[in-house]
Amino acid sequence: MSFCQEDGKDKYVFMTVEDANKPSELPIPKEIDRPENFMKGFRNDDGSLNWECACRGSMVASRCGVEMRNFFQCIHDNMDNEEKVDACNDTFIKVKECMDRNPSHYITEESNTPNEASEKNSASDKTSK
Amino acid sequence: MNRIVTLPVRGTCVFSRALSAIPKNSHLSKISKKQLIPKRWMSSAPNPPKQLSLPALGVFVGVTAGIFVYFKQKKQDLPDGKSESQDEAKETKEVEVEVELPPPVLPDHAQYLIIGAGTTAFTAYQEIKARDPKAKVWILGKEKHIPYSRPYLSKYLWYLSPEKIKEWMNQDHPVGSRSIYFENESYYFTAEELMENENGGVCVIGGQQVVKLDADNKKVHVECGKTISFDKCLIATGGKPRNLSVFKEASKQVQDHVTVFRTADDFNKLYSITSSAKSVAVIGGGFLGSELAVSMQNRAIQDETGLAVTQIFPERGNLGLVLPEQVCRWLTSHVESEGVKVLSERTVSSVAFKDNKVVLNLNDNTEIKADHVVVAVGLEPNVDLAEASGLEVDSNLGGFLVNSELEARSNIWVAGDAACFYDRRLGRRRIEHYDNAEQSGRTAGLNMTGGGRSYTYQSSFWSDIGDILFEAVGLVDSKLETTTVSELIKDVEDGKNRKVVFYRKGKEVVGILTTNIRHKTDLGRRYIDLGLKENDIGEVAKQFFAKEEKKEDTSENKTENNSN
Repeated sequence: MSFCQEDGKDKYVFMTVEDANKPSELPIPKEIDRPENFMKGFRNDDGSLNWECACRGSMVASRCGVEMRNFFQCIHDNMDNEEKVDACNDTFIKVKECMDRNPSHYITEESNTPNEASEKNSASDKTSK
Repeated sequence: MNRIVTLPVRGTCVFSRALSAIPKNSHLSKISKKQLIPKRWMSSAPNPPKQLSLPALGVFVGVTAGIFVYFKQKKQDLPDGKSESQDEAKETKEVEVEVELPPPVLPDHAQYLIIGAGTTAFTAYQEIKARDPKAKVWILGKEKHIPYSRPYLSKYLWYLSPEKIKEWMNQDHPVGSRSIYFENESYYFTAEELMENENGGVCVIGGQQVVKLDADNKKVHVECGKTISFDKCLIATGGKPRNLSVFKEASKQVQDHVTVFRTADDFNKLYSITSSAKSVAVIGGGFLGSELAVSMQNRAIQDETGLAVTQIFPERGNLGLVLPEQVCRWLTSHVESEGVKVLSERTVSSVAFKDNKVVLNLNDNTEIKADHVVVAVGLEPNVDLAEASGLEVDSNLGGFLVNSELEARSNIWVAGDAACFYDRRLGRRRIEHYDNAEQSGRTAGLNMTGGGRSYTYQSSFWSDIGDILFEAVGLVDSKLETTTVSELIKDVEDGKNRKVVFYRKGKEVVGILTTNIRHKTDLGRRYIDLGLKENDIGEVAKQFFAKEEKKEDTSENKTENNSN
């Protein structure tokens, strides 16, 4: 049996396990509808991609974020297209080129060591901030 | 609504995350053998967020698998021969720390400028780049660290082995591995790289203090003498830890043995000191002080260092400013059962240094000797540049005054710990918690790119004190009227003692705090937003105690509602 204690302005209710785990007589309130895009998932209701999804936040702000975004967008736009590999080849190549330009963060299978990678891409910049 | 997991998201390529298995919690199974680690963390430690529904990515995976298996972003995937030269490189790196580096390059103009390099800066730059893909975001931080997550510093880290801690504290950790840093160092551009890059990006420059913000001319003046003009600016300066005058005015000898705790550097220093210290005094009985005291004591017992932690504060018990009296008493006895000596209702009157120890003279004329003192007595918002910049500061709550869109002046926003904003439900507030830092940062980023949205999100916070998990939403002040609903179980461990505390102003509930209840933060959030009458408290409490219903994943869009 549950009981209540009052201690000045504070009330203390003690519920037995049975009472506490009984279903509540009140309905559970609805989810709060947040209008911000960053509260939503990666796909919008109309099927388009929501790039503000926090789940993609790291990628969009990364060194090759723009290139990767263009590539994924292309794949998405060409979902129904059987030739999607060809259609998105350009965007794919741009991603690869970007990653090759940034060997400090990305390692490609072609370069077995970061040293080889940096020889290939002399543009690598390792100055500290 | 689908809620963002408030833990660092790592990995620059969504695909690499999909391809590689979500890192297995193998290290946790080692921890579980040690009984003193809060059992909670064995099964539900900060996990890589399960936001990506793999079925959704299945299409991407299927299409691009043949292409992307070509790429490996993780340095940790290097063949073994590599790792040796990496270690050598790391060794040489450590030696090079002694060499003085040239001052960092700063730009003349910043399209998007963020002052401060913490959690708020992190979510703000993500949102800016999401909405303005080629944006150039410049971040000036005071600490010499790239953005990191503070909550680990007083909790989880203390329970890891020294080797693990080193990995976690490594700014150059491999992509995808766990760390306090949201990204690794190589993620961010250098100033020269960003200036040249057509596709924009993010550059973090540490060790910089902005001394003045000229709002009329959209310029900032940096301490080193540089002036940077900007288009949009976000002030995310957070706060600096408060100190007590008794320590501020003490001798250098005493001050050298006092850590006013806030930063990653403070953690490294304190961890090292407590490896050999025999006595530590923690001043402060709030969240940070209590977490630190219990974490340090637990680690000392686990590692058998012989360290004894004493906690000293003026309130009646731990979290005395938040918890109603009986709950406060229960928590305090739990803290004591963890091995911490709690000296409540006491303050430090004077300090001295004797026999290589700090001597604390308390107001009850007793004396405590400690090898080291940790001060955790609150946060002062960093508003140093307010006066020079003509920005308004709230006289009551501190922090920069902003409107509900987080704007202080045209083109200048403030978010995070330093922002004093208007909450339509609960009035003007300034919140010093992680969820607010993250969400207000994202909202600021949204508004800096033309979003124009009010910050109406009701943020929450959590705390782990030993085995007990606290989660709360709204105003949780022990001076308010409260109703605590406790589940009555005989002989229950502290870590399973479930309570819901409702804080009332008049007939309305303005705050909800739970103990040892998971995944109900959003429920609390909904009630604070909608309003809750005192009469309904009993029935509502049952909803908090009820077992979590397994949500049907009706759309591939759903993100998991994780509470922290």
